[in-house]
Amino acid sequence: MTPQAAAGVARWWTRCYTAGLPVDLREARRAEVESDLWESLADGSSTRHILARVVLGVVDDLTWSLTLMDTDSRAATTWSIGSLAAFALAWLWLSLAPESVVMRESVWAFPAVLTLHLLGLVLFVGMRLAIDLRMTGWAFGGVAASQLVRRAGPWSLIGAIVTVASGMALYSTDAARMAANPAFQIKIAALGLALANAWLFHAALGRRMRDWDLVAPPAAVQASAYLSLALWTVILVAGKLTPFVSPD
Amino acid sequence: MRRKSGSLVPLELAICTAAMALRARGVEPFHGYLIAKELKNASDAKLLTAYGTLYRALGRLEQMGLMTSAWEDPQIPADENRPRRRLYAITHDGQLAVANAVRDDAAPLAARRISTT
Repeated sequence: MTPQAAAGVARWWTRCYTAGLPVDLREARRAEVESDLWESLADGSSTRHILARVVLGVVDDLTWSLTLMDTDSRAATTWSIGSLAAFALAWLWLSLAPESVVMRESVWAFPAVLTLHLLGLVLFVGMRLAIDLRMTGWAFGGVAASQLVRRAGPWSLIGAIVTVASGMALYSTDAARMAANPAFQIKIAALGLALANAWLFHAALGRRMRDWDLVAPPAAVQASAYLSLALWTVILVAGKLTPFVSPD
Repeated sequence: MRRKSGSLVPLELAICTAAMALRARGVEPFHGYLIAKELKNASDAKLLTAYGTLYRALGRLEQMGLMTSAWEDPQIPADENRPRRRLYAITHDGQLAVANAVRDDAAPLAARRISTT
């Protein structure tokens, strides 16, 4: 990697952690880092030097940014970082222990986790559905969008965490067969897109929600809501088809 | 690190000390990269100061009244074809804070020397 590419990484990271800040703070920090990078490159700094200065500052950058964000951005960022950390840990656990003996041998573990998975799914999709229907304008027209998101959003996230965690435990009972199942592959791909779409809504599209709180949302928000409805339909159908589709 | 009331954390003290060294060499005001370079050269282990850590600490020092900062005239970077610099300078209070920290650091050392002679 060249020093210019490392400077590109530093710029990208600065744009990420300053994204939810008030304009004056955001622009000041970006300009300051840009100036530092320019001086650094002109001075012949190495790729390692530039990347080390990025990596060593990640915790400081995030904590600084969280203390200066408005309440909505801070909540969205905290939830995003928390969910990513939870998913990363779950993925690590699965990659270290792909076949769960407890889940395969216990009489109660599988049905209990399956029930938890369905309850989590009902909570997650139910709350998500209410938000998406409000954003498309099909339902809850008189309800303030920000109120609905503030009240349903955390429940939806709790449902998502329960669903994904229990789903990973179910997956671990027969990981090789599940991974080769086309219906399961479609479900996971759609789930990834749906989560990315939900994150995009909370982190970017929904940030000016108070501007359209009681009226129809902007076209980008409506498009995101329609995409969400389509993806959840695919996830539910693919999930139901998974036991009936052969991996071979 | 927990801060004692009215005191500087090590990084803040190092930044103020680096600022005074730059000032002594006639380099004032200075931009963030110069401070980072001075900090690296001053440390025995050539330690790097991260972007976020440095600018956060500079912001705190400014709030404490130990540093001042101003963005340079936009015409200068436009003429030199480079990004605009934020220029910092250490205040009189900043210089006093460094002097006090050095004195507080030196006092226990002097006491130990006296007690061992």
